[in-house]
Amino acid sequence: MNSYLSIVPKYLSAHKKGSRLAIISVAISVALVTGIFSMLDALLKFEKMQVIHDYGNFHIAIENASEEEMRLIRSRVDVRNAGLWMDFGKALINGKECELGALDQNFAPNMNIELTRGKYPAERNELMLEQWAVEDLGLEVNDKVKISIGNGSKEFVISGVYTDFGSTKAAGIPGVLLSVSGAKEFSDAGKSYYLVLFRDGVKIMKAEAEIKKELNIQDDRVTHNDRLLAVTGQSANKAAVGIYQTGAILFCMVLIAGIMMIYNTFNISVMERVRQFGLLRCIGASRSQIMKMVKREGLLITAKAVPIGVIAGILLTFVCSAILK
Amino acid sequence: MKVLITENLCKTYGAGETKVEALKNASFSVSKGEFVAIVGPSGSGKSTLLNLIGALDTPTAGKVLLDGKDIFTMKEKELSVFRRQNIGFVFQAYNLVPELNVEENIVLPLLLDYRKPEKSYIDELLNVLGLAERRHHLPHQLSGGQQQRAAIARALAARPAIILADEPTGNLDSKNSRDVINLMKMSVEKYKQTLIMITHNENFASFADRVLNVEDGVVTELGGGQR
Repeated sequence: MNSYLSIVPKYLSAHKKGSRLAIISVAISVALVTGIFSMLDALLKFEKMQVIHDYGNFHIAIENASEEEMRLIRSRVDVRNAGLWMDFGKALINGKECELGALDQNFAPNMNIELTRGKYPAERNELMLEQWAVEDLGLEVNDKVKISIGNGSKEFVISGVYTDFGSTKAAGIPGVLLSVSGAKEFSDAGKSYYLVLFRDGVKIMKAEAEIKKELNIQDDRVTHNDRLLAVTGQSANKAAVGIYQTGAILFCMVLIAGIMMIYNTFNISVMERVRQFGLLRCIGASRSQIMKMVKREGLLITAKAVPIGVIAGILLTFVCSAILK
Repeated sequence: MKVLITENLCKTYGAGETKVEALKNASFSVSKGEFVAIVGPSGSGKSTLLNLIGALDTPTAGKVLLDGKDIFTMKEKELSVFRRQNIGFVFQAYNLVPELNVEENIVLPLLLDYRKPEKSYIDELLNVLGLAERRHHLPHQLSGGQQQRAAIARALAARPAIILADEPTGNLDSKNSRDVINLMKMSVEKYKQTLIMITHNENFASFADRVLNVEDGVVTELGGGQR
């Protein structure tokens, strides 16, 4: 024995039951906190996937961007991907109602558009159609179709087929995508949006303000993918606040329960030893030395309990994720 | 040289109707190397007196000078350092730390004082008190007499100015009691310690150099033992 603090490990090993109880209660609290945070993280990731699936993977959209604006935005270092999306609204394909649009090929994956057959429309007279619509209308790749919008109409060649889109399929109105160059030539009735996806870690609100200022873009020309911004915590929007609130409430509950559990086990074990502390005071221990002993005891218990708790929390998360999936 | 001087020491417990004057104007002094026994009936204030001398309790009035220092003007922190360097306690209930073995219990006061235990002195103490073979035993593996001898060794380990013993033989049979008293007296003489001991046993009081009688909180000198 070299220091009076050696009493602490000796005490802990002499009172195995009490020490084990303290370690278990600390480990449980740690496991709960770890579990809740991991679950919350998983939930946010899932929500993000869902939002990208439903609304597309872009952060902001700039209405009617000029060639110059698009070039400048695309060349920014904090922009990961950007592409033009044109929406013509309702049109007719071979006399049947359809949703007509156009999208840059490089941005198609971001909008969950995947080619299943053929090739992406590039020429001015090419277009692609949804899988179900091709079957429904009895068409095939390389068939010619007539698209009319307003008074104008033109013949196009089906160059490719892409995966079904839930909303259009449910409505029974096929989605038709032209090439961007073809679309521009075909009609000027459509609205165009330049969709921008920033890199990870970019402060989007700030980057957006920068773009607006540099290019002198008015506020009403910029729209946001609010849901995506919300789940990534990049917006003042309230959509994801619910998740954070749930997390905060759960965290507080677990925190309070954990504190009470740890406090009580520790308090009981200290209270039981008031006599012994008094005895140590008699043989010369100062108040601060007793405090040091109690702190050391807490430290030893924590050192054992925290790794156990963290591992248990991770396992708990895996089990919960497996069940929820 | 006076190691201990008390001046008009008073202690009152409670107030109003429940007021108890446990100690009234106790004034006496103890010289270095003396063996003083305190006798008196139960509830007379002996333990109160000892607790005040050992700074385990604070007096209502009066002073205690230990080694020339007024112990009640010291701050809490200072006092605990002073206590571990100058006062050794021996209790009726032994009060060894149950998780530590005999040797560890004996060196504990030194460790609390951040001193390195002097191995030869500790070995000597263990031999003198007949605990050499029991040094690695835990308190509950020892007899009452052995436990009390370990407690005495612990009180001697830090070489304090004064040793206070509160009925050290109270829990022991007559043979063990005699052994313990003899060992205490011997070690006090050998290491030139000062010892103040409370006892109920008139016979043991006769081992002392001086006997103080406490009755109803009043301390009186009974004169020397039958040395």
